[in-house]
Amino acid sequence: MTKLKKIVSSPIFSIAAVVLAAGLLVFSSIRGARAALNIESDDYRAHVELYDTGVTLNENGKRVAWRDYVGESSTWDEGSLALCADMLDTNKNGKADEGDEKLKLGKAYPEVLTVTNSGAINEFVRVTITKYWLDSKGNKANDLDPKYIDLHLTPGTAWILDASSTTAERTVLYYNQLLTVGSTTPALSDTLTLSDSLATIVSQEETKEKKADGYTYTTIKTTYLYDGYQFVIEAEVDAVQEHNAAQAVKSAWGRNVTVSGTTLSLQ
Amino acid sequence: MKKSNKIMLMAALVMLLAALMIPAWGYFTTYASARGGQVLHLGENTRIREDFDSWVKHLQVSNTDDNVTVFIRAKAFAGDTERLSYAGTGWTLNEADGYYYYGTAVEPGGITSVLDVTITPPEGAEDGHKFNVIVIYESVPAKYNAAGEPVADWTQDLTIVTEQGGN
Repeated sequence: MTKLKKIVSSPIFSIAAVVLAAGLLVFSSIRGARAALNIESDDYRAHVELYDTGVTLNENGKRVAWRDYVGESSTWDEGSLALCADMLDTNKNGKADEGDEKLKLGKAYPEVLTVTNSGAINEFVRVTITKYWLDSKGNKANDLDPKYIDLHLTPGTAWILDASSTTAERTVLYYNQLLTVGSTTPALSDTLTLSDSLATIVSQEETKEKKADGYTYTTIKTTYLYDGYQFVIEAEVDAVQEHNAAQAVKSAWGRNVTVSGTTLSLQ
Repeated sequence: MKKSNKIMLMAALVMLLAALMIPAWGYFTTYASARGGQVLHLGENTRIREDFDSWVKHLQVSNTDDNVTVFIRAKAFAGDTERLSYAGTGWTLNEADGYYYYGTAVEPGGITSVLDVTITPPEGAEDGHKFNVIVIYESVPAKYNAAGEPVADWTQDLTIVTEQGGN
């Protein structure tokens, strides 16, 4: 025991331990870097370009939201515009007035949503659509039903509806193909319709009044429940890297998916 | 053990732990979002205008609402002894319910064409004969088909929502 203590307390042992630990640390760091470098080009300049991730949401062919990493300046080029802003033929003379088109119940307005990979690496993407109503003060009206805001989805083989995450208010769609740099998905929706049932949902207030002729008159005032409310559509597009996509999706979005080649499916 | 030895051993231990740590992976992700909507205007305001001359009531219904396009129908009632006849461009009788329907949607600020209701008094009516002809009219907000063309739906049932809750 005394011998062991002597060895441990010797400067040579300490130096050996430090050298060994340093060697292990360096080796482990190289291992991580080597794994990350699997997807990189040999060219260091290309390596910087490779990490520029970006995604863009388009509405009726127009860019409405984007967030692209600009590696050269280490900044995000990002911005967003209002959805449904061009839905009505308004502001004909530069200001809102009585000549403006009003929202028509039952009419199918074009609402073609697509996603473009505006970054420099291939990605998998998903879109979360949220629908709700706002009152005239801008507060969310939780008692009004989002089902009357009908964004007609066009899920086919390309967009998969995540039924487990979808509610009356929220719809989650996954694009099942790898979205390569610069390419755009097929449309996930084509039209937006406000249900004509909204014109039949009313509240009524009954008042009775005895008039001078001796008769009692009943007045029933009917008010449309959704009158003056604003419907809102929110669309968020999320993107993750192609490399280790299943783990990346699990880590970033908390969803178990299977990635086979360039195809993604939900578990 | 010397102090320098202890420091070196501590350093070795720290590096060893660092080497054993599971690599933490970061993933390249991004997102973008947009939102928007439009305000819905419902509810209609209409007003009837009646002129009477030479045993004819001239009816017109105007849409005084700022926002909502409507469809109009009208009908007149009289006693048993008077006969009523109708004439008006754009007005069509539905024999099933006796209403005259104005075929064109009336835009906000718009007005229907004139519906003439001619009152024929009973034969042998004397001067001073009294009669009472009541006109009723109804309106419904226009619905739209997918192409955005206005459609009248007189059959819809209202869903009456009772306000609940309190302060």
